Order: sequence, then C-alpha cells, then structure tokens
Amino acid sequence: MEGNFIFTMGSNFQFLLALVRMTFKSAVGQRSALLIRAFFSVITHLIYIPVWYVVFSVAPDLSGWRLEHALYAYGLAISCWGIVSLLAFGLRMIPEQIDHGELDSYLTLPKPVILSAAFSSSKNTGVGEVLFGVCLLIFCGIHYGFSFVPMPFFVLMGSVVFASGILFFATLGFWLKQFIGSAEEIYFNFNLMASRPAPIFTGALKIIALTLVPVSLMSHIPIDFVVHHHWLTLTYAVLGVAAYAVLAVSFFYLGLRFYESGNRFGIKG
Amino acid sequence: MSLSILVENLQKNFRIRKKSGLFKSVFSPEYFDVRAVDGVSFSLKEGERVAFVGPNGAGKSTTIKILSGILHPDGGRVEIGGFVPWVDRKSLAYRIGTVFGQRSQLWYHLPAQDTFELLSYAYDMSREDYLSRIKMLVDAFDAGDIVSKPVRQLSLGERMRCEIIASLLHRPKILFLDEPTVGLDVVSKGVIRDLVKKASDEDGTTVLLTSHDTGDMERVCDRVIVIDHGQLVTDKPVRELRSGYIREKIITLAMKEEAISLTMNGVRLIEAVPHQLRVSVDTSQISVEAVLQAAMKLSSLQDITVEDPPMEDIIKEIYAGSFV
Repeated sequence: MEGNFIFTMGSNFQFLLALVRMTFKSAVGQRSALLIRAFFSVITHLIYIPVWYVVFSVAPDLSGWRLEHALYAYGLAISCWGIVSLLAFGLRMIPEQIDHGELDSYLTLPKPVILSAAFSSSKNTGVGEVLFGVCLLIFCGIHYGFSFVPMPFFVLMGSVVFASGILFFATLGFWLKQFIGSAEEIYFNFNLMASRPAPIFTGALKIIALTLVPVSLMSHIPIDFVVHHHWLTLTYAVLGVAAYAVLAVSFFYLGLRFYESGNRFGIKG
Repeated sequence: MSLSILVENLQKNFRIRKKSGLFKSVFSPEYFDVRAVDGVSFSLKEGERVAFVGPNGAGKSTTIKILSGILHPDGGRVEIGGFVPWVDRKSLAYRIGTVFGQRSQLWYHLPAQDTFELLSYAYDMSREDYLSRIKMLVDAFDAGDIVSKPVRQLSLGERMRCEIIASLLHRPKILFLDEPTVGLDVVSKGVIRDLVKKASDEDGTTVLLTSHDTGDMERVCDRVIVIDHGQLVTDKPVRELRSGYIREKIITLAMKEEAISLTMNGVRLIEAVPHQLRVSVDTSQISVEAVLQAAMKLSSLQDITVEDPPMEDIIKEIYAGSFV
C-alpha cells in the first residue's frame, strides 16, 4: 500500500487525528493551568473592546470601516490565532525545535515531518482565544446583522493563512540560530496587523499585507466580501491562501535540508 | 527483503560561525567548516550487530543520523536495501528503528503506552497487529508495570526500555542505537544490552550501535568499527580486536612467599602486595609461558590468573594510534 496516494493521504490523516488526540490529552492533563490561562486570555482580549470603542467614537468611519468591521476583524484574527495555538502550537516552536535538534524523532517516522512538528504541542491560552474570538463573531452576527454562514469558512481560511505565515517565518530558524524570540515578535505582529482596519494599509504596506504577511487574506478581504459581496475577489483570496500555504510548506522542506540536528540532552513534552 | 547497508566515502561538514565582535558578527559574519565525517566507508550484512565506536566528536552520531535520514550528507554514497536515506526517508522509516539515548521519542507527561499507540498510526499498523505486538514486547521487556506510568515518573533505565519497545514496535529490519546506555547504572545497562541482543537474535534485526561503553560493544556486537576525526580507524570482528590487537597480558600470581622479584624484559610490575604479584607482560617481547616458568623457579605458586587487558584499554590504545 506504501506509495499509493490515496492510502498515504488516508494514513496521514489518521496519524494527524491520533496526534491531535495525544496533544489534547497531554494539555488536558494540566487542567488547572488550562483554565487559569484560558480565563486570563479572555480578560486580556476583552480590554481591546473599549479601545476600539473609543477610537471609533472619535472617528466613526475610517474609509468605510466602522466599529462593527473592526470587531469582526478582531474576532477573526483572535479565533485564528487561538485555533493555531490550540491545535498547532508546534508551528510557533519550530525555531526552538530546530535549535534543540527535536526534529530528529519526527524525521525517523514515515510521516510528513511537518505534521509531527506542528501538531505535537498545544498552548492552553488558545482555549480562551477561540472562545473570545467566536463570541465576538457571534456578537457581530447578532448585533450588527452579519451573516453567520461564511464565518466558519473565514475562520478556516484565516487559520490556514496564519499557520502558513508562522511556518514561513519559523522556517528561517534553519538558517538563523536562536531565532525563537524574533519569530515570536513576527507572529505577534502578524496577528496585530490582521486585527487592524484595512484602510490603514496603503502603498507598500498594502503590498506587504497581500504578499509576505498576507493579513488581508485573513480579515480585510473577508470583511470586504461581507460588505460588498465581491465573489471574484474572494476567489482570488482563496487561491492566494492555497498558494501561500504551498509556498510556506515548500520553504520548510527546503530549510529541512539544512537541519543540523545536535546533541542537546532533553526530552519532549 | 534484504536490508544491507552500504556506505561509501561519506562526508559531512558543519558550518560554524567564527567568533567576532557584535558589529562584525551581525553585518559581516565569517564561517569555517568542521568536517564531522570525512570519507567513511563500510558495509553491513543483514543480521549483523556492529558497534560504531569513537571518542567524542568522532562523527559517530552524525553518521547514524545520515543513515537514518535525519541529516543530508555533503558527499559520498549510502544505500540501505536500495534506499538512499535522505531521499527515500519515509519508505526507509518503515524498515528502521532508532533509539537516541540523549533524546526521547516518548511524550513526557503521558504514559509510554500512549506514545506506542501513536506510533502504531505512524507505522500504519492494524489494531490487531499493534495489540499483539505490544503485548509481546511488553512481556519480553518485562515492562507491564512501567508502560502505564507517565514518562516523567520513570527512571532512566525504565525510560530506555520503553524507548527500545517504541523502536521495535513496527518490526524494523535495522536498529540504530545512539548511546542507548548513556547515564544508566550497571544493572540497567546489562538489561538493555541483553534485550537488544535478544531482539536481534529473535528477529534477525541488524544492529548498528554507537557507544562509549565497551561493555555495549562486547555484550551486544560481533564487529566493531572505530572512527576518529570523521575517518575510519579500524573495522574488525570483536574477537579479532582482542586476539589481533592485544600484545599485552595481565598475570596475577598468588604464592607462598611474601614477595618475589620478576625483573625481565617485557614484564612490568602493576601491583605487589604480600603473597600476591600482578604484572603486565608484553607478548611481543616475552611469552607468558616464559614468565610463568621464571615465576615457578622463584616461588611456590598457589594460583595463577592470566587476563586480557580490559577492552576499554584496547580502545584507548586504538584512539591513541598505537595499533594503527
């Protein structure tokens, strides 16, 4: 069966499910930490609501963006950030896994390294972020009348963009040692940009937001769609997401050729 | 399917950044190459158990990592049953097992049995196959009590037993062990060695083992490959290493007399206590028989012991270049 494409995809999917089960089992093992961090994560994000409220009280219309759009964007960005933290926190840790030679055991398995590297750890603040993001999206739907139908699709699309972006920048760790700190800064800014109103991004910033750090695909284009229903733009965005994901995965496998392992004593957890 | 290993002129360099000032290291970094593996060639037949020995930094782990598909070499050729490890990594992974003594494949906060189950998905094992195989391995490794405890609560020896179970789960044809007994006590070392040997005997698994412990080499392996500075120093059956390389014997004499003096060319005193003498004999200068005859003339011997020097000393001599 080895080498059969359908069998390989099926077996990779089964492995992925088993991996996610293990990750949750490991995370749930620390229940009190999970609850405390989830709670404080919700509190942290709640603080932003009054900030947006004050900003849009002063300037109610930012080139067509109003408070409801900002909240929708924030809900999308935080949901995506939370989903990636909860399911694929390993992506964020790739620079550290490279530095510590932790990819060794993944490389000796007959499965894509990226699955093990991405899905072998979970960050429990993700629970709070997903909870907060989804509640905010539901609030936007109920209070401002946005359709609920495309929301799950936008969250999925945004999560793929965010995961790909993290993977892309984390891969630099194959060349830049002790990159984890810088990578975290980049991820944080990625998330920050995704939750900012689209009209802020003009000129070179707009190009960056559509290419290298494609936050526009995460929040700006989805919100443009719910307002204007431009199907063609959304189609291009979906293709852009797929291309960006392929680029990020290819870049990772290119970097893997430069993996140097190492002899650090340690144990995964 | 036969899974022999062929390694020809294997080379691997690591690029290291030169130490320099902050400004220079950021804007104009300089690098130099460290040659970790420098033209190593050897081959293994199916079912062989080979020790890969060398001092720290000799290139043992790097070679094993190349053979298991973890690292890409800079030159040379490797074929394992027709597979090139870094090209056919996934196909090869079904056929090899790896144990890295310094690193774990077990999940720290979960019981080892959870990792075994995850691995059964990684190796596409059917549920029935997995359950029967894990039962067999847990029984063979006497690990019934330890596989259900979180890994963080296991001793190093217990953890290593679980690591080996994990590596044997999918019935690999080749087992790569990188310092599997590092940090273990004498008893645990013995258990691990016996288990690896037994598993290899029963399934015909080829074993390539790196270690600093000559006990691993003597108890598990039939052949030893010594490398140093990334180059092959010697490749011999373990027994030939003893008979071919040892030009020294240790003789311990117990006698009625309180002390005797054995002053002969090629004989070196190691220890003299009342009624006992321990000497080292250089067999290239004088035979053991001649030394014993001389001793018998000088004393009434009550007991005689003739030993080879410890394998560790032989390896030390090989590292030092005395036997090359």
